[in-house]
Amino acid sequence: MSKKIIFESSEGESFEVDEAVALECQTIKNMIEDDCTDGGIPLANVNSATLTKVIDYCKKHVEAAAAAEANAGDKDIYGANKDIELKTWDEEFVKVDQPLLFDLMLAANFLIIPGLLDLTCKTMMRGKTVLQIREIFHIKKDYTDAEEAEVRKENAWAFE
Amino acid sequence: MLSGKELDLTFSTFWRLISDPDSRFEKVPQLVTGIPFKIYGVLKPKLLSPDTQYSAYVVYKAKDQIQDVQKSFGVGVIVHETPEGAKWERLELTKLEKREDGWVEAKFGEFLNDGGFMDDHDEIWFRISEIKYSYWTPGFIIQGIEFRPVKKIPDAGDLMHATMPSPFDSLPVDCISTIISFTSPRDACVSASVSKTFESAVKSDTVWEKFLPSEYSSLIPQYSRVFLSKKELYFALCDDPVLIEDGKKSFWLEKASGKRCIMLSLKESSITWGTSPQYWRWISIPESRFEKIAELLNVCWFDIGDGMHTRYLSPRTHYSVYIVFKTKNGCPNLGDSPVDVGVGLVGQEPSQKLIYFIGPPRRGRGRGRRRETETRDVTRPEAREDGWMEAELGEFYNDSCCDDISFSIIKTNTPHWKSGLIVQGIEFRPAKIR
Repeated sequence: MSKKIIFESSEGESFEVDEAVALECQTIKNMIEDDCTDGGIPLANVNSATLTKVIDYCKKHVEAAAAAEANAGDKDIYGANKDIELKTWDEEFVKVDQPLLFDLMLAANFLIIPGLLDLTCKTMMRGKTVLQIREIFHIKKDYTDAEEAEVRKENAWAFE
Repeated sequence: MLSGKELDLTFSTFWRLISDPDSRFEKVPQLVTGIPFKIYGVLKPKLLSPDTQYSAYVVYKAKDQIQDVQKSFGVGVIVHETPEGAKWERLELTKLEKREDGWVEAKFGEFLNDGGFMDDHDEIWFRISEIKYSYWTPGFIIQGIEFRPVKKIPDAGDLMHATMPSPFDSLPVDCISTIISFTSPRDACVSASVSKTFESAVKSDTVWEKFLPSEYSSLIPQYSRVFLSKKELYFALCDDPVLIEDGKKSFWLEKASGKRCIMLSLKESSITWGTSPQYWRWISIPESRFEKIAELLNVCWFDIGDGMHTRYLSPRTHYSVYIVFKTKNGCPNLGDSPVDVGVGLVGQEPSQKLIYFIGPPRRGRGRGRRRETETRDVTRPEAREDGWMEAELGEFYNDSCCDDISFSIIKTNTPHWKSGLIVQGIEFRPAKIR
């Protein structure tokens, strides 16, 4: 019988979640501790689509943590398997289009969900080439060719 | 333009080098006899501008241009060699055009010089091959292969792309720094080339503080210089190892990942007979990171073994363990025979393998000699950039940093007196991803 917390998305839609799930967000945790969550928490900068995903993520990680706790006694290959399963789940979770991924990252930053922030930032930027980053995020190249060559030269080791 | 002389022309005996006043090059190849031919060539991509779409043209001259124009060059193929393998692009020959300089050019391919791989080993391979197997008129001259950027005709998609706002536009620079700090040092340095905003975001201490080890402030006093930024300190920790734990360990970071690396010095107690000056002595040499290192003078029983707590290393990381050494006078009775080595977390079965400190000569004279087959299973040492040698003892996975890792290097199955080995230490660094 757990306490429920109500989130309100930027569209005004309400989402009811278990307190344990809401506690995954450091920002909400602080609010709960300060006892100011009655009547719902309005999240003016998180839309419904993003909030749904955020809640999915928190739920999964609460469940995984509970499962890990239950198996804490026998720390064996089984525990390692769980780890891999959660990692695979995370990888699937971030297979979304770029705008949603970006919103997820901003939400993780705002709600302070370190795991999700780490996951989304890595997914967006890791292992990408300069061209890919420009293309994915519509970033205009504001360097001249000479300037760009200079910056590349400074960081030449990273292109090896 | 790549000179025709540099190209690999099949049936080279049917070509001769001549001087042509209209050519940019001193000598150009001319076809002597009519044959069907193939042209191969290689170009270093770093000669071209990065991030640019290039067209490749063969620039030529023929006695009877009308006739030759009607013939087909066939298919041009461009291969862009990258670390991930070759990217093939097959392109049909497009139309021939007369150039202002009097030569004729035929476009045979297009490729993107993405500039991500600008090192000396990258090559762009290309091939122009005949498909009709027609005979070309003698007198045909190839001046060379020209590479020039494709003229861009902006299309609707491009315009939309340029005007579409970037989600990064609405973020303050320090927020971009935070995002970058979740990637890796390599990704951070790559992303600096994206735009000026990214470059200033990458410079931020927010980024590099995250890549530095938590105890970095205690390491700074070891450098006799002032660091103006966390980025500067990061690179110092990559390039100039520091001594920790009373000079018993040398510590540095792997540049691309920021992962922790350790070289452990040997103690007297880690070597059997290590305290007996007639068998092992402890020397100081300038090329060592440690004050005292072990030199093997003479032993029958060669046995080194010790361990280290894994808290000195990065968690959730595969590590390789190496012995870093030098040999003297050919390392008698030890250098050429396999040595048993092992690595393992305490409480687990250690991995076992064999290494050579020098190794028997490869093939040649040694062919057919005894134990030739054995050499295949024994790891040979490799030269390091710092002038030392190293041989891999094994690998392990450091999950949580709360284990002990142990290693052993043993040669006790031969009764001969062994000598001529100087050991600097045991190195732990992230395993190469295979």
